[in-house]
Amino acid sequence: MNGRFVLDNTVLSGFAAVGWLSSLGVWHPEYELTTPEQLWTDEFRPNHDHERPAWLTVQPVERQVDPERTGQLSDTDWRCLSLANRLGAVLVTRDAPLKRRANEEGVRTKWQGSLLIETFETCGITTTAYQESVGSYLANAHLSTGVEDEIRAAEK
Amino acid sequence: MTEAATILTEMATEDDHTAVAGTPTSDIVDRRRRDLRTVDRVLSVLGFPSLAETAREVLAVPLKRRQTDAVAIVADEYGVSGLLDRPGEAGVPSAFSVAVTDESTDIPELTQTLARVTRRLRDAAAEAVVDSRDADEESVVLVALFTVIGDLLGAFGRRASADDNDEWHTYLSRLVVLVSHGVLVVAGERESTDDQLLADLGRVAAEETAFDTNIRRTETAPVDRVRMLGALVVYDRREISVARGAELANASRDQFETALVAHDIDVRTGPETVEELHDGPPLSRSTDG
Repeated sequence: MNGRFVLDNTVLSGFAAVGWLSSLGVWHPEYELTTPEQLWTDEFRPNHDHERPAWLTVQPVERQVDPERTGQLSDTDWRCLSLANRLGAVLVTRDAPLKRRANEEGVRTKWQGSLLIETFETCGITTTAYQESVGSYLANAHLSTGVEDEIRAAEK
Repeated sequence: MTEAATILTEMATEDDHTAVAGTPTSDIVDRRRRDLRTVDRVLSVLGFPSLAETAREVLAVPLKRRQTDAVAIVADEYGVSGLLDRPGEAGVPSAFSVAVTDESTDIPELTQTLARVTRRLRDAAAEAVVDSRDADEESVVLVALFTVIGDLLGAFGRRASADDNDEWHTYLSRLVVLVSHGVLVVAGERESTDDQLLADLGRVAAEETAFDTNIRRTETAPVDRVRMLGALVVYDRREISVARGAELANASRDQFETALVAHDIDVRTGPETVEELHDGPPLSRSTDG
């Protein structure tokens, strides 16, 4: 296995909203893709009609909250952080405060947009599907113009 | 310098307490009681009864009549005559008249000072949300309450001189009711999650088109409107995650993010630059290349 990645709800919902959730399976089994069970059950499933894909593991996570600025993150944010910490995994998100906080806690991170480009480049998403839906994806991602252009211009 | 001017100077030079670490709601109230006492000193100098005393009178009126009766109750309590019929010619207690005539008390300055106190209360409540998870609901309601009061106070100068007496009266009634709640919360006599407080605050929040607040009529139940407003303000003023904002608003992540966009609040997603975008461990498949 090449590594472990913890996906937060911005990743799962962001990919699911444009029909790309299954595309993340391209990284399995070389990478372990996981998310807190509470996130999957309480936040993702109520808003998306998806059964859990085989490539995604869900793990129960006890919430461990750093005593400083405990109200900066949500309950599931803290669980994502705890899980990434416990597994020595990379936390993937597009939420800036969560990413900054994770870095402060010594957890490695990766932007969701970077994962998207790499998933496309490694043929997890077809060129046609990418071109059809990248506009919808970006409309809900609230990214800078430069980053939007970079994602839109991705090539295989 | 008169006593009133001295008090205003003291208030204007008070330290800003927004950077207090670990302040649950009760601490906010404790700290702000000093502001309340100071305001009451100002009122005392001007010959007016205390805010808490008047607030109790206003909130004793049944909910249905509260908004319409609020100004009359205050006028009666403070001995102001003709406020409803001829606001431009309203008579006020002699001590107040003397203070204004002597130019020792500048009414706009007093209003601005009260607005400044309100902003400090709002910021302290927002800070409490970030510092602790112990009193989420109370703190987020306080943020909403003091945001709306601050907006209304900020508009006071513009509205008070308007020719439209009906609008002026409506505006003042709402301000009086909300300030009454705020005063009793700070005085420790009312919980910020009190049903009547939420009902009154939610009603004003629903009438945003009549006022200079940024509240939108997007939620239905008063408590939902209040929590959404408080969460939006906290997100706008402190670095919290979108998921945390949604938690505070008792909404889904998508709903909260949609509300942020609708209120022209920047959603803190990243990265900012292309270099940052690729700043993380890359994934690769062994079959690649």
